[in-house]
Amino acid sequence: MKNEAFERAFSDLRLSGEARERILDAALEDGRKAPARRGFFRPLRAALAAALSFCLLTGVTLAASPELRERLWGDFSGIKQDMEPGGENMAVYDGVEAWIDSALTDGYIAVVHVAVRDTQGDRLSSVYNDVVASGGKLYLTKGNALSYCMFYDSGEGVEMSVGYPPEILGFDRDTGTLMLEYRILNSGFSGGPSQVSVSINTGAFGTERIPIERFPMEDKTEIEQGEQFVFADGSGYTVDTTHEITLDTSTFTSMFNNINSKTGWVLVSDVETLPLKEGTVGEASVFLSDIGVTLRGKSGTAGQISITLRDGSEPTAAEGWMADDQWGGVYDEIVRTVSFAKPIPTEEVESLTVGGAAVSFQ
Amino acid sequence: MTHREFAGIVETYGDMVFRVAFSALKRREDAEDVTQEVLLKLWRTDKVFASEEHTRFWLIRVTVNECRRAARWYRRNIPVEEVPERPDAPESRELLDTVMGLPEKLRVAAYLFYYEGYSTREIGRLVSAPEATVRSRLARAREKLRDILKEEENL
Repeated sequence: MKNEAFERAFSDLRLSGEARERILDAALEDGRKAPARRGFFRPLRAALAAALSFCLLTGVTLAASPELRERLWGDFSGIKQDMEPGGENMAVYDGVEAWIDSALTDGYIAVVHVAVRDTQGDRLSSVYNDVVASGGKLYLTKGNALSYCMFYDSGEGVEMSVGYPPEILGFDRDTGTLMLEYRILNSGFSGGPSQVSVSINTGAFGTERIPIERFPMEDKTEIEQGEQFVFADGSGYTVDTTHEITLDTSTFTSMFNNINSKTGWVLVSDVETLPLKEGTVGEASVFLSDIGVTLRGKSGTAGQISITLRDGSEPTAAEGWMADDQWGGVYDEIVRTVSFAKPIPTEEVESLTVGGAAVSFQ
Repeated sequence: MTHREFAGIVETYGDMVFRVAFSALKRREDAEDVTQEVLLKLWRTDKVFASEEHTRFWLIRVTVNECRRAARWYRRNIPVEEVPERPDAPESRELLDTVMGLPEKLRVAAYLFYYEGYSTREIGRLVSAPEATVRSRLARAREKLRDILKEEENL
């Protein structure tokens, strides 16, 4: 139903003429840059897929070279077209394979790419469907995400990260491969161990299947007591204040820890650790790497983080450079991380400011 | 899609995408940034849309997703001085102010329901929430808007 009062109130809100011009100009500009993109990258993807296959088969750390990493960031779609996954870092259930494609960390942020492929049908396409996702969990079975939390083994025991649901980067319809990206802040790190490993919870595998379903994207802090979630097959659950969810099939699991004793943790992969550039602003420590900026300091460390590149440009969120901002911390120390949507090599950064104050690097 | 066709799409859907973004983000500059991002996604996609309704649905869904992404970033980085734009007529201004004073999820649901005319089921699909949740959000929005809407009905 349309409401007349609403219609009057909102119809005055219009996109400005200037904004329209900007959009049309941007499309023209975009069109000039991208007409041959798919065709151009096809050989690149094939070469990259071959390189990745080699890495997987031989157990070499994935995404090891900056060049390879740059390409990985550059074009994900269709990257799996010639690839045959293998090795121990792959989980398989009911014809669905999942494996870690690349994993990078600077000690504070981790960026992990996971590929999921249905070898027996077209079940994953319904997940991708019409959605250009910014978050969202991929559910393969009732109540189990692939995956929500990640665990790091820094060599001194396993630590749980603070994580967000993955972003769906793309879906290659030719091979039925879905590419997911996880960005995680690990407040357990302290400046970056030389090597870590990451495990992804595929607790979903091995439990009862339902049709693949997108989980409603809800911020956990905003989920309401008594709120009901219903899956496509009619099953569902009700949120209670203890943050525990009771499935209507009497299966019991914990939503936010997502610990499933049935299956454990698989998909272990090495993670390439990136070099950090260390600096300070006020009393806060600042760490800059290719994939993001991290602040460590007292609670209240805040302010807009901005970067000026050597060419004078200033990447902004609107340009898609800055990605998620994540917070974590222990006691009165806070760790704040802004991960970039695309990598920015540290050598290209001219200056970095936090809340308008320049960061001084040693 | 040719650039001329794209211009037609910006003309047809630009205001709608902008309003959805504005109802979520409250600020013209942010809403325009999101509108640009969303329309450029449409420009770049190879997707074939079955109908005009399919196109609208896709655009709103992508807008909702982009707003979530943008809101997360803005919340952390920019102190938001939330000053919604105001239409001229006083009664419209009051309604807009009240809607914009609602929590984000409530005002997006209210906008999609009352302005775009989507059903609760459709809104559930648009914002990736169960229909029951949408109904509950609308009920809470209605509660706050009751007086204004009642006055409107009496006119």
